[in-house]
Amino acid sequence: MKRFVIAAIVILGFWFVPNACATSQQVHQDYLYQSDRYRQAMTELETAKAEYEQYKSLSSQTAALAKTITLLTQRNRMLRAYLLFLNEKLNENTGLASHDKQSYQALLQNEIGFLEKNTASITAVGSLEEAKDVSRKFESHYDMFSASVRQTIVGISLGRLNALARRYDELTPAMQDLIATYRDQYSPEKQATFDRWMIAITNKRGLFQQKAGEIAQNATEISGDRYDIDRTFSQILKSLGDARQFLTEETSYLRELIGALRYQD
Amino acid sequence: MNLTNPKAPNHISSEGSTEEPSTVFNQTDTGNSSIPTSDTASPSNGPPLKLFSFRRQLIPFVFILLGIAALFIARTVVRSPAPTPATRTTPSIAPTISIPAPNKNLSPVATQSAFIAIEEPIASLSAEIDLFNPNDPSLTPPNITVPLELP
Repeated sequence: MKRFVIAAIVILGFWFVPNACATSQQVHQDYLYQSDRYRQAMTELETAKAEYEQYKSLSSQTAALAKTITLLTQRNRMLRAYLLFLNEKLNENTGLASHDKQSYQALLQNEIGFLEKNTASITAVGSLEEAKDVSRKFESHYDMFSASVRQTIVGISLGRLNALARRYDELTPAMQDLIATYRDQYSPEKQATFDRWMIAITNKRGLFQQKAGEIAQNATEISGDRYDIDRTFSQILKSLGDARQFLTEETSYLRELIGALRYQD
Repeated sequence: MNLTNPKAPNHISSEGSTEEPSTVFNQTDTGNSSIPTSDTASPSNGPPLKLFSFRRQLIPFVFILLGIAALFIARTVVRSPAPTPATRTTPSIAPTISIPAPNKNLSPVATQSAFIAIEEPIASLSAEIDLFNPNDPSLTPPNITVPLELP
């Protein structure tokens, strides 16, 4: 019975994982489509704006208003598709703790809610001035939107690294058991080599854990204006690269240990 | 009997005709020359003398032709082996020193299933870490114009 349950879980996992990946791919494709429509709407608005500024006629003003409404609506659609894409990436991520995942998803839901409210206010726009008011409301919120998005991106990347580190945590005890079982078949010098490699691996794992904690802490401090957000985000990206380097070195140590175990001399 | 100077240039006789000097003596009109000249053929040794000289001239040419034929035959029948083209070796900048690999004995652990079971996951994990990009381009936020310059 136990084997049947495990087999059923494995089969369902194989079925769900491709579907999950397909879902994020579908959402990504929708985001790309909305991006293309946004760029097209921007081009059409530029043309209508130029005509209105040149002729100042009622028809050109009406056309400019229509293009403005289209652009504002399309911008919100594109950003919403992007937030849904990030949400799917969070769902797929296996390296994040559930409470961290929920906090990032709450950020995204907050921003989706703001976009929906902004889109609802666009439908009531009747003049260019009203369109400008709606756009200003969005622009005043845009820094908070950028901060939430970048926090989520950092969370997704950190989750990926944590998932890789977890696999190390499964391999390292197996390696320790192997060394403990066959240790006596090697010379004392070789045994000392094994011990040194294991100490180095443990140290690297500790450095990675420390760096991952720093990244998670710094991600919550992404705030301020656009420049502060970009600066903090760049620093965190560098820290992610350092964490990845620790895992790379840990891998190389494991390979060295494998090589040392392979030969008697 | 007329005796002319053999060293003299073309002697102009009284009759006005040039005569080439003879070798020793001229043959007089009286016909007293007892030494026959080389270009006078005696009527008694005509045809056989001509055939003999033709053969004598032909024999060297025959031998030459035979020699040429022999060389041609020797060249076509007996071909010398084509020289092997010299292999072009690129000169190495740094001299390579081959160090024989030390004899390493495989440990009994290398054949254990536990060892083999660890080796493959480490390799695949290493490859996945190499593929990880801290700045994943697919996650990059969209670029929008803020503030929007509306008409």
